[in-house]
Amino acid sequence: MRDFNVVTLGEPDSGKTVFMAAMHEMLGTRAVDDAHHRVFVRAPMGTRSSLVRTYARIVNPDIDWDPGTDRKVYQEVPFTVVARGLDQTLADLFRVRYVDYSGERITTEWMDEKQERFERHLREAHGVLVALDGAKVLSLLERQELGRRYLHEDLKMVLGAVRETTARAPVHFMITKWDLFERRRIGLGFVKGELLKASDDLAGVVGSRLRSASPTATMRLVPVSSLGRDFVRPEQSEDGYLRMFKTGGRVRQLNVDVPLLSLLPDFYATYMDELGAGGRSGFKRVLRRWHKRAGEVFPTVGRAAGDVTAERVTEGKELESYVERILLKSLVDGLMSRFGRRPDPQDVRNEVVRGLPNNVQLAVQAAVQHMALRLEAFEQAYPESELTLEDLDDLARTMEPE
Amino acid sequence: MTGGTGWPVLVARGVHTGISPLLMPHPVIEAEQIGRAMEAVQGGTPDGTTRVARISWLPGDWTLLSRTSPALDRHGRQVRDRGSRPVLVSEGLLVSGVTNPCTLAPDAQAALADTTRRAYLQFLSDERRYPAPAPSEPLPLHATRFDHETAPAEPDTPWFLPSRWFRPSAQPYPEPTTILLLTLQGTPKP
Ligand SMILES: Nc1nc2c(ncn2[C@@H]2O[C@H](COP(=O)(O)OP(=O)(O)OP(=O)(O)O)[C@@H](O)[C@H]2O)c(=O)[nH]1
Ligand SMILES: [Mg+2]
Repeated sequence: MRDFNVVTLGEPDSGKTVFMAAMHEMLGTRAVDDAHHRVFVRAPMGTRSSLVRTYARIVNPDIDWDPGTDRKVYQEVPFTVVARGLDQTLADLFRVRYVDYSGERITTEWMDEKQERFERHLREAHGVLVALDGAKVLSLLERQELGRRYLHEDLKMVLGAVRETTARAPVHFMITKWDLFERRRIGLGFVKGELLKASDDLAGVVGSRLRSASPTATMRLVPVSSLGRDFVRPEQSEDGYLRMFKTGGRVRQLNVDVPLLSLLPDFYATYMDELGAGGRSGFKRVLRRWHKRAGEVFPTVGRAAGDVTAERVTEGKELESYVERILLKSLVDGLMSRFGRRPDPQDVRNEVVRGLPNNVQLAVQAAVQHMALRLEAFEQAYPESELTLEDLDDLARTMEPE
Repeated sequence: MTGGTGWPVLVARGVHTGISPLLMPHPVIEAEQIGRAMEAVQGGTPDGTTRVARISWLPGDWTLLSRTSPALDRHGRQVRDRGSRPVLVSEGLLVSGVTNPCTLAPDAQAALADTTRRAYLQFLSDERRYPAPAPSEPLPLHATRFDHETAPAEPDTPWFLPSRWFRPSAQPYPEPTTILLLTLQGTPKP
């Protein structure tokens, strides 16, 4: 099983801890109970109890918000993403490792012992999730002093940390506390335009990452609410900040699953790139090389697959590598149909999985489809969520003097 | 028994500002170990329980007594950060020349509490202008043997009651560890 390290980058109070707990609630608790969910996440017992306890405190209207995450805390949160077939066959797909830490690590000048570990995690991350604090973005849109300070201080430091990650690591952005925008009926397209216009840093990071990203990758700006507008009531306080009050209303998560699901195709797109292709024009090239190289990457697949018996594949290790193969194939299937490609004679996809247990194949396929459909539904609901080079071109045009 | 010196330490967030070294002992600043000192003093449950730790990152013998509790403003109200969350303060005393577990007498507790409280309120009144890291004034201390049996109960001063941290170990010790009681120098002994 592959391990992907994801670093969530956000200054203190941007909503990282609440997001992590809400994501686990959605994908690690409710998705498990829902037999129609073809994919869910599993965390080790200790991690799970800690996330469940945190979540319980957050959604309890009778207790105060937790204080900010202590700098002593450096909690690794490994999520195993599990596929579940219609017949309830389970297959572990891959593992995503998040870390919850104090946002002070990004903004402070005072180094401690854990800082080195954090910076290593940052540099070695396979994927980057940037948390843009909705409350501060809102004050930016409203041209408040706080918003200006956000641009020049917090956001700048967070984007500085993004630049520390490897150029090939896919980056996604989420705007946390999106319930604040829903209340004011502010749309994502507007927020995206204003953000890119206001922050040269953001436009710069988006541009440079888009240019170095895999040709099949999609960079997203995901509006997220970990709690929903019925549960939190914002109120302007004297010091200019929005104070959040717990109302006791219904908790409803919005899009907290999307950042994780967005990363999956990215990870494997990067992986497929490693198999050969490069360059932006190159989706065809990706597939051509994938076809050609598949035989090298999975040597003697056909032969090995031929003698696979049900007993052998259940012996753990082997099963994992089969799941990986099936997963790759399902992903390529998905990409092919998304880009309207029909199989050609060189296609080795069926060879790759020949003889592997059918129930596992079906489970993995179902999970991949489930994720693809979820992302599609998200894209339909938020057509402006994709960050593209055209967004930056539009920006350049609007900035030109008349 | 002997004398010693204690330096107040204070680490806290404000409403606008992130975690900052609001009071730092001179030797820590000199040794460029502010980050380590902040790490050492922070943490623990914010119920005021005292922690006592030997310090290894300064040359010589040092012991740090510390606790974390909710931050209160001058009206006694809970301070909240930008994210509406309650702010915590971590405060402590870095004591030089002491390797035994130690505890503070009420006078030393009061002096420390007074110093950290004043510094925190000053910080709150103008966070951006507060000169962090501010060096703290050392308190001259007098160390005597703390007697568990005869120690006066101090209901109003929950600081550093040794019973909180002094747990008899399962390991057989040749002699019970002596606990030191630190009083301000110049104060008459009880
Ligand atoms: N309206 C609204 N407020 C939220 C939401 N999520 C978090 N908040 C508020 O934001 C505050 C900060 O969230 P945290 O998750 O603790 O922030 P963090 O990024 O972990 O901060 P550090 O631990 O200090 O780095 C919470 O106490 C809530 O008041 C949300 O979905 N909607
Ligand atoms: Mg946190």
